[in-house]
Amino acid sequence: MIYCLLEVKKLLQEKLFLVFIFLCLCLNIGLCFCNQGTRSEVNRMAENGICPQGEKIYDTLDSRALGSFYYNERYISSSVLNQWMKAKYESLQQSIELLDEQNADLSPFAGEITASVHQALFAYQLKALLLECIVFISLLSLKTYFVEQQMKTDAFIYSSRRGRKIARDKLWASGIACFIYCFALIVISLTIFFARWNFQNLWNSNMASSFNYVIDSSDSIWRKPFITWTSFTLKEYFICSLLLMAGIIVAWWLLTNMISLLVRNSVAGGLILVAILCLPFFGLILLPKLQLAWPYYLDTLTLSTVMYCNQWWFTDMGNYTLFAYQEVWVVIVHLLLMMIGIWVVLRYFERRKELA
Amino acid sequence: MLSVNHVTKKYNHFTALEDITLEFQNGVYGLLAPNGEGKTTLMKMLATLSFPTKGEITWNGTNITDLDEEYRDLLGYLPQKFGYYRNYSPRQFLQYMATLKGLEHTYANGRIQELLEKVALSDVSDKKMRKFSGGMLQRVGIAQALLNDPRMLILDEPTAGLDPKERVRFRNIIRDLSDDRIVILSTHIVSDIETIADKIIMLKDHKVFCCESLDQVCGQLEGKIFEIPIGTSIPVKHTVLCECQKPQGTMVRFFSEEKYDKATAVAPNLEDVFLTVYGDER
Repeated sequence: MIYCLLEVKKLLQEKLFLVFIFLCLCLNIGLCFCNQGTRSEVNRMAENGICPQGEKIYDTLDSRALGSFYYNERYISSSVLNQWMKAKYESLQQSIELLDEQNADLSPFAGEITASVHQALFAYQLKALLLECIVFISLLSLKTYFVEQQMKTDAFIYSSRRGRKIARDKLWASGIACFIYCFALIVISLTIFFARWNFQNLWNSNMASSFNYVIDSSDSIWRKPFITWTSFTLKEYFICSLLLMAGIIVAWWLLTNMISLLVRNSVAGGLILVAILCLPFFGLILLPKLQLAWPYYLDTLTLSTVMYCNQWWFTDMGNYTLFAYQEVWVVIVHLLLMMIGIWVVLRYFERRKELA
Repeated sequence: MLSVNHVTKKYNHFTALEDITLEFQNGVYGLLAPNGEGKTTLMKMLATLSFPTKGEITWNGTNITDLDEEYRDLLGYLPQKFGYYRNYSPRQFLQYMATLKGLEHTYANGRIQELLEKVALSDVSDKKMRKFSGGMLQRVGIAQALLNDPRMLILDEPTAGLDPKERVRFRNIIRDLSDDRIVILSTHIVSDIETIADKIIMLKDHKVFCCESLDQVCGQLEGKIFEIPIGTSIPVKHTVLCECQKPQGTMVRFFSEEKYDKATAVAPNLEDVFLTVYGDER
């Protein structure tokens, strides 16, 4: 434990991390000041207690008709994938019936500006926080392991009593430091956001309100209802989103530590992480154009795709998923794989032929 | 006892060390060889930074890899090239290293103070190391190697960057320590080990050339080292070693298997051995 705390102390003394977190905070505060019109309207509605009434849409909505856009042969060239997509939209019908029973569509939410409010919180603020944490964890993990190589203190460290086992302490130290920095960033950013945006009347709104919708631009731009797999209030949806974000952050933390232990220099490690983070985004754009269905759907099983779609989580997610709650399963599987992976890599590192 | 048993180290197709067999008991061992013969490779393997391709290194019969922490607990290592944390003072750095070496806090603080005085850094113990000269940093390195009062000291070029006064201080520290521990030090500065080494290990062509006492090593050239005034022709087959200033003028020191009456036979020293053994590689 003492070795771990020593490493945490080293990381917390690093001024560059403080500068990075400060810049992220500035960006997040800037985001709070976007959408002034929408924010003013939300705050006005909160003060005046205005509750616009939604309209019934789920009583006549057919999920098969909704999904037919995604599982026609023109779009997916594989019959197996088509079958899975069809099955997803058939099972969505049960969710639509549940939402109809609960009158989720009638939920006022934020009236005509609901989609903008949803965007402001999930597509901008939470997505920014997620990406900032991902980048920060990458930098911190690389620094944790390569600082000894940079400072040329690796021979001292690895020939000491603690030796190569210091890698385990560095792993936990990077986790603790990441938690401290990321938690502070998220808490401060969201505190400022909710100080600016008055959500007091919105927390019990249903996410599947008829006022809420998704703009799907995967093929052509079209608008469809925000159909969640189960009924979520905004509060529940927000908490679940934060939990999924936490899962992604932990999985990414394990991945960056694995990469840092395997490669021999920080530049190579950085390039590999950039590739893992960014290449799936390009895949999402290029692979459908090249009609490569299987590679495309494998691409949707990456953490990057899950991060990209954060404002759609716990919904049908159109072309980005093949089954219900795929984003949750992707994160869980990544967590399990990374836990096994880091254990294997630590053992490899302790037996590696050459160190310093 | 530390044993190196038929150790070979290869990097892809390059053989850095071949079939090295050595035994170390208490005393000072001077590892002498030109650059590229494998000194640092051997030191790194002894410090567990690298593992042999073939063979094994044992401590009292047990492989040092299996001993793990138990072995490194006995070890003090000073690498050839090393850095430091720029914003740390020597005291902070030694405290950090003491923790990594598993030393108890109170004991470590006392030991750090003692070592800082020993290496003459007590006046600057709380100054940031980024302001230190190379010699001062080297002394910090020596101090960290001695922190855990190691049973084995492995020092790779320990006197690099030290001025003559500091080198004498260093030799005295090593001499004091060597009675009850193994000290292995590699150096190019022959004079550093000439006066303190109990045994001299020389590597040639990545193999052990000799592992003998200073007298035995120098005794190989007994009657074969001569001096003659500079400018005098030398008709016998010879290898010039160096020129040196004597009261009678500049003399040429040379090695020859054949006797030459006009030259004065002198007692061979370790530098003569070094230049003769590695002379064809210069």
